[in-house]
Amino acid sequence: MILRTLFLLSLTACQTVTSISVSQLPSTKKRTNEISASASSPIILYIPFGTDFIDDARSQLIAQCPSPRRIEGVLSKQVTTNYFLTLIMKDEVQFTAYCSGGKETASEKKKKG
Amino acid sequence: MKRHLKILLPSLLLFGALNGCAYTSAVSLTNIPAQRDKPVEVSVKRWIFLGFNFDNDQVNEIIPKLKEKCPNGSVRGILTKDLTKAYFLAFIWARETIAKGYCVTSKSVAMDEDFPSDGTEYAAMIEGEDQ
Repeated sequence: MILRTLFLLSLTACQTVTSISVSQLPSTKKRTNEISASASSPIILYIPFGTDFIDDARSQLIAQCPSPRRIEGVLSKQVTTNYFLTLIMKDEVQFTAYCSGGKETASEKKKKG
Repeated sequence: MKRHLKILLPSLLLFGALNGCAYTSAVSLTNIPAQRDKPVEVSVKRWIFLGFNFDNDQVNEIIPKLKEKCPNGSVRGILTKDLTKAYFLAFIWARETIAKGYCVTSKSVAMDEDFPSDGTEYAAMIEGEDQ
């Protein structure tokens, strides 16, 4: 019974927010086009596999809002998820922001309808 | 077989000890500008032996270093990564902070509609929002 409970407990993932930050928000009119990006990396038996996934998340965000548009009001969230009594972990970074300024791209216009 | 293990195991341990495990402690990202053609990157590092660390002054060096990389403009869209690297079974740590951003020249900052050079447009924008 105890073993079963432990096993079930190990299957449920516990999430912890490691760090969070918000940058300057744009004016109300410019908060129409919300974009987001995330990337993660596993940590197995406390052995991580690099931190390049953070750069990947930023690249994903930039790809959604090409120049000359700007990315503003960036909410950065770093989350760690534990599985199997922390033997396996997932380090994840999530970015949510607004794409503003410049001309809207075709996909954005389509999104708006 | 035993002979191979005698060589393999210490080699693996040494490899594991020399390779630092990098854990991310904090991440932040500021507003990304339209002008993204001049990326800049700086980093600061501090070695910590047996966990003894008495200040975090190395982090303050980030700003002068960024200024050096972008003397005639401002740095925007800064991605900051605060990393902890563990070496030799965590007896030695390295605390590293990496900042990556874009150097934006003064001219384009003035052209930026949210941050005009004289601030008049910004004031008008705020006024317009209030109405």
